[in-house]
Amino acid sequence: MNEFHKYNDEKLLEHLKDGTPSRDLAFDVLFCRYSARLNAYCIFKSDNPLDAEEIFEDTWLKFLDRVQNGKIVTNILPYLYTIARTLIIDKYRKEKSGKTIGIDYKDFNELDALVNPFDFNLKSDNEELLTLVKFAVNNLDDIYRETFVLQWFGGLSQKEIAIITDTSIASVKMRSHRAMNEIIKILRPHLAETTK
Amino acid sequence: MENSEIFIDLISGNLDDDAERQLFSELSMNDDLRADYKCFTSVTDTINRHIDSFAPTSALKSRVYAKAGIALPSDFPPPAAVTAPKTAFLSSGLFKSIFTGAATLSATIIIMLLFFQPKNHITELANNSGITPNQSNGQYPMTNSFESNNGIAKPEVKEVIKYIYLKSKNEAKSSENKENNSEPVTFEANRYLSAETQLLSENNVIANNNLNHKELHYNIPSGNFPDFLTGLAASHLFDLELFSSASWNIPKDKINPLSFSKLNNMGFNILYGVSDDFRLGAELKQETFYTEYTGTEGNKTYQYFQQPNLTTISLVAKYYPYNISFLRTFARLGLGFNTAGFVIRPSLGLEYFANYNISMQLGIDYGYFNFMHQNQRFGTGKAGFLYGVSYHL
Repeated sequence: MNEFHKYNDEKLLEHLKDGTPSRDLAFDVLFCRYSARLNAYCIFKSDNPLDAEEIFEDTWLKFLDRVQNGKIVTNILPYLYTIARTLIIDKYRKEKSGKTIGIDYKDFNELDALVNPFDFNLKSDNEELLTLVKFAVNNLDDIYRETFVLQWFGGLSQKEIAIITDTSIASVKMRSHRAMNEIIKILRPHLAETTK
Repeated sequence: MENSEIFIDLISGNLDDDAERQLFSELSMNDDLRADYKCFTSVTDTINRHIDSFAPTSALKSRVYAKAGIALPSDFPPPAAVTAPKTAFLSSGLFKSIFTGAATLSATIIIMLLFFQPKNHITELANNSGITPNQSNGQYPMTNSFESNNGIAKPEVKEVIKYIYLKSKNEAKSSENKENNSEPVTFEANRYLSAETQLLSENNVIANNNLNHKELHYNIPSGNFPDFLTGLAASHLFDLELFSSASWNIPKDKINPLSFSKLNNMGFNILYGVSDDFRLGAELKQETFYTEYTGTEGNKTYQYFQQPNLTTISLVAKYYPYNISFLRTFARLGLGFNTAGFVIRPSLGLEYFANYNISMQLGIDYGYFNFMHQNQRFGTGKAGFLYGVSYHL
């Protein structure tokens, strides 16, 4: 682990504008710090894994490009989400106007694994619960899913979510609790079963 | 205010003191609210605990770094390892096939070492009877990615990967009733044993009462008695078989399941000996089938790629046409069903009788899987090697 891991985001952003190798080290630390949360957003927001990877890649490239071109970023994760969100909207808007078919993606393989009596991959209740959570999140309507993912996977405040999604805090609040209600509705029977 | 709203406010620190006190008071009395709260905390805890599971793959990370012109850190695995990290092989289907095969073979060897000493066994039989120790010489429907009825146009430029759990409990019916009405297999006298020996084997005298063998004398045509073990095995009433297979999908798979079952490609049979050379029974097998099929939703035509984990239950018929010393050739046909469709599985192979109760088998098999999607039938297949061990009761 390099020295840069001790730096805060602000300092890392400064190094990102430098030449290599400090730029490389700074980028690596930021990548380690935020890639999982960004990737979660890309996965849930995209219609398929390939799109998610593409959005994830392009988000980091745009982020680096903008920072190196003097963009002042105060809060990195919300900024990454904003870039990713814009890329996703652009991508699917282009596909729509290009009359290519829509793509739908629900990871039912995970449900398959759950209901498969011979699958011992789900070793713990926790992993099983995570699979259920993913499944439940995937089944939320897009606006609720986005709010839920940004809040719980991204760790953003409702205010930050409101800025990213360009909505009011009240709307975010409403979406947030509706999403959670749905998730609870789906998971409660399972949890009741496991706690018996 | 709904429960989840209160919980979210509590976690966000937006709940005032009075509301917080009221919430905790309610929690102590209201079971329903408590259940919701537990569920809420479980969800948030689970997400927090497993957020790292969303970290990008090494390959994706290296791609980002390469495109950004960023040097990968020195402790990052080299490119070769990036594409094939150590754990990738462990989690691959190939490893699991090899592993299950190795496990089956190991079990066979252990059983053989524990219970079977071939030389001693034969000598003992020879000493206890008049038997000279044996010195044996001893067009299926190929899946078309764009298979469709005439009424459905071929997709244009449509590259879609859509993971969908195959419907079909009600759409795809089991083919159990397709078992043909073949003539009952008639018992065929053992071609190699004299009448006395056959009687002996049928009554399991050797198995149950070795001491009496000394008193038995047989007219054994020279060079015509290498198959007493096979003959004995044929007299068993039940066979228990544990087997595995290494298969290749036809067409070649483009995606893998999210995870393979640890028992993938393994199966278990229980067979009843209808006659010396014919067995009938049931099979339970865990497997995947790679499927490509098309369907429409709204005005759009989709092409689906899937490889679901399936547990197939089959009716199995096994026929032994030839016996060659300790080897028996077998032809097997399985007709089965799973949650997605039906499966026809013919196979051919050799079975080696290690001793009276244990045999090992090696063969080739083909599995044809047929399923229905939107009132259209689709089929896919896989071919491979079959290997396993049988215990004869």
